[in-house]
Amino acid sequence: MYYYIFDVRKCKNRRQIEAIKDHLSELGISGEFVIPDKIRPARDLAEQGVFKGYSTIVAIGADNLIDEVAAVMLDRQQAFGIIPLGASDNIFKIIGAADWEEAATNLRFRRITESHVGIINEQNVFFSYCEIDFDKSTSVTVEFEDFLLQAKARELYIANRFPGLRKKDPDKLDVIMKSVDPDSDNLWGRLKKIIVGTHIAKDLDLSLIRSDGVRVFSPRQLPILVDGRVFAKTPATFGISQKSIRLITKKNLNNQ
Amino acid sequence: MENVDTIIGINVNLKGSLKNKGSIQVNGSVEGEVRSDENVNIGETATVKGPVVAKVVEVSGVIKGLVEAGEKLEINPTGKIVGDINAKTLIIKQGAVFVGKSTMPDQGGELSGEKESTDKKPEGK
Repeated sequence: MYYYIFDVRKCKNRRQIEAIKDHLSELGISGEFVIPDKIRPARDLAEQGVFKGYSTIVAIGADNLIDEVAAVMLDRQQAFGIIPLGASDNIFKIIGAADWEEAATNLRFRRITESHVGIINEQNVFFSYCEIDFDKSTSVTVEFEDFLLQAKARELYIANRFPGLRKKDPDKLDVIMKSVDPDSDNLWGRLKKIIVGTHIAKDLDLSLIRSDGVRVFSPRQLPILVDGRVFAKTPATFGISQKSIRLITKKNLNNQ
Repeated sequence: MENVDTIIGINVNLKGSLKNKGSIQVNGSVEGEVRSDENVNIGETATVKGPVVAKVVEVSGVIKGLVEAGEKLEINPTGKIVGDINAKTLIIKQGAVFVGKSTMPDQGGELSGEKESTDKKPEGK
């Protein structure tokens, strides 16, 4: 039996809400629909669905709802389904669906993929990736188990699944950083740009490290965003869940 | 990016021990050990102060420290090694700099494979 946690605010209009419900009925996988709100957040509803004994808990909505429900679904026997509505492209790729209708069809076939999620400060869960929000390039220190990375960075992502990057190891996070010349803001740096130019061969400024845990420090607090929402601020610890989620994906999907 | 497991970008400083089963590409600066079961590529913009150990090591930047290559060590024209090397196959291209002692494990180590080199060796093995 299916238990749907439906963020109806992500629907374009009332007709779309009905269209989704009708489509699920046509597929023969209708069930109980609940709508999260401030009093009953998605996390509580998901726990309730598990408690009631539903075999499949489905999040219908965007990345924030999906992450919230995913946190409850770690190490559960129940399957976790996703119907993305207003979600990032990455979520569609993770489950192997082009649109919500295809995602609904996937639910029917219940092809289960054991999936891990990223965790920030041992509290918040993220399915795809999080991003350090740099308003300008800033010095950061990234601490791994055996080494430290120090750089002036303008982009830093800590990803469970990063768009366009094949996940090599399901038990590790991908840390992706774009660094800049540390002198780029001072007078010598600006002169150097004029004298020698600033051409850096393609991708030379990219760093990629795979790790099961990482800590990020910065001289000033930087927001950590997941799907545009501030999840935490630096300094922060990132890890990957030891437990997995039984995620429903497309048949023959191979994006691990 | 897909073929390399770990990349250290330009203008990045790494302090500590970088060990990996897969290939490593270094374009920044490393103070410590770099060790891989596969390939290590030290790019033109890279500086490594510490030992580098891998199956295949290709050097276009600077290494100050011991280099051990289980299969092959290649020093490109922009490459510079200041330190001892131990490699089954050694290629030093014209313009490369190597200051140190060279040994070949299959040739009985230091006794038969020992070489001293100071600067700009022509292409050879």
